[in-house]
Amino acid sequence: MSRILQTLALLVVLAGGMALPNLVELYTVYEVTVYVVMALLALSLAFIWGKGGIMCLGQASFFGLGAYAYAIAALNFGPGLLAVAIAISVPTLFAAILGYFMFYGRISDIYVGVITLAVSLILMNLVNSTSGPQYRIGAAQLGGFNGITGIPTLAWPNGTPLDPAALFRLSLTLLVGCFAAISLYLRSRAGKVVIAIRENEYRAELLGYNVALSKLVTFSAGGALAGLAGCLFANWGAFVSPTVFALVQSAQIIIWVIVGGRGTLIGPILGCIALQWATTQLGTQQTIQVNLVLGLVLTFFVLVVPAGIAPLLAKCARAVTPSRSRITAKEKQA
Amino acid sequence: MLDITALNSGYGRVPVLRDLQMQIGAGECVGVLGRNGMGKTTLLRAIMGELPAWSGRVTKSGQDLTTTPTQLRARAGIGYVPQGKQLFKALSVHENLRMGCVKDFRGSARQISAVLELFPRLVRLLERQAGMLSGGEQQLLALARCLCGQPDLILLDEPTEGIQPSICDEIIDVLIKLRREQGMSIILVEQDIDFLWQICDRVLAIDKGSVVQVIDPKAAGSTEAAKTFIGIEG
Repeated sequence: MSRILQTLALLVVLAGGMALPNLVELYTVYEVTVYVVMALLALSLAFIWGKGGIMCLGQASFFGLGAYAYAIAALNFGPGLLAVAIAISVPTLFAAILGYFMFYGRISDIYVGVITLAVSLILMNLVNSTSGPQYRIGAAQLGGFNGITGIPTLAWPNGTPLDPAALFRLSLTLLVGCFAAISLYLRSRAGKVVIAIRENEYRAELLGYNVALSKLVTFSAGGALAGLAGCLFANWGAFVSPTVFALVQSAQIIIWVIVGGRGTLIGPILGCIALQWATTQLGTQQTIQVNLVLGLVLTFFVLVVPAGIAPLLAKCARAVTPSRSRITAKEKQA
Repeated sequence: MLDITALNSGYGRVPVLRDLQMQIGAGECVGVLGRNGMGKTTLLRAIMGELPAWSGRVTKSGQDLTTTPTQLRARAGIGYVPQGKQLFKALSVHENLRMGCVKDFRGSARQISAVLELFPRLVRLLERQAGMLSGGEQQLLALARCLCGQPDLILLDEPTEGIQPSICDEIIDVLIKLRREQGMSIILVEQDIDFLWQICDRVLAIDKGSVVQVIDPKAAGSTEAAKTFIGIEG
């Protein structure tokens, strides 16, 4: 897609999204907000795995850290920008430290996956075991498996909390903004290096690029994005529990990315929204186990459409739309 | 230019290079030949820092590179075209060349057009995905991308392997031009004796990780001497 078309599409999505709360019921706005928040989470993995080639099986770690960091900061310092800054900084720093040991230690891809998965499970067990009254950070009671409740919603500078419509608009703006920022970054020199490393890490190093540093920056940025999603999630539900670190959460993100199309940024967003919607519908009807359906969907895509939804749609569009070269050839024949 | 003194290196605990000595001057082309497993590729990888030097020294223009990381050796002017081309196959030819301009990314357009003068075959392929090129074209692209990094020493590992003869001739022409016009130093690992003999000033025969003979391609009987080191009888 050309840059102009992509920019136009983003503006249309943003404008449509801004108008949505005026057109639908409050419940729908509330439901769609979580889709958008999770889409931001999917975007974080699309960036580090799809574009950077870093197989992170524990993206939920950063999501959960962002959610918990926001909850603790908001309860202690108030639901302002400081709490958001802490919610992004904590997972970013955690990703940077973890990434430093993995990438400078030249850990291979498969072990990066195993380590990140293990870290998310360790975090879940760690937070699960904080149910006693002694586990308190300032005004925030960690609450173990019960989680933290009554998290204050992000407030405007005048102290008024964001209403559901404002939270939706903020989440959508952040999603569109992050998508645009990543797209721009990938067109820059540093972004090309990220893709080159995914394509051929060995060759990128031989050309003179600092592979470990580039991977560290990518991984940390992915951690920051997931942390931001976690922060918005905590705002959305005013509640966070250790399930944000769970294996199911990490697996879901991977499924969104695979179904949507791993090599693209838009695919995982579409995959996330489509599967979130399907999960909600199936959960409402309670006729079938949702995880079973998700497993079947994943198996179907891996076997039948391994490239995912977005590349498939792009292929169909190319087949339908006559290319300029084909038109020129026909014109010449005529 | 490049000075290797008593270099020992290998894989894990397995030694491959043993007290290897080698010098190459500016604008010189040195060939390396030997049987499989004798340490030719290991030598190039040790020069690039992919394998650590267990002992000995690697210096380039007086600068000690023995413990310098790989990416900094590349920035110090050593270009390496390994076996198998190692392209970024999902990127276009132009993007591959641009990735090669590691020293001067902003001036990449100028650098790429200078390199393309040496490789006219690539000009019409600039927008094509690198993975869609033929084997020979990929080899040309790998060499062109290496040159985009403005090296003054290039290491080539079997550039003619599986390549059609017309492309081999193009590679020979480019290497001769590079030496003559830019004073490029070249270390060339190759099993094709004819190819080596057309370009190299001298050829090092490697056996069990050490240089056992220096062959002058112009000397009488040099081809027969070389054949004994790569296991071709007669």
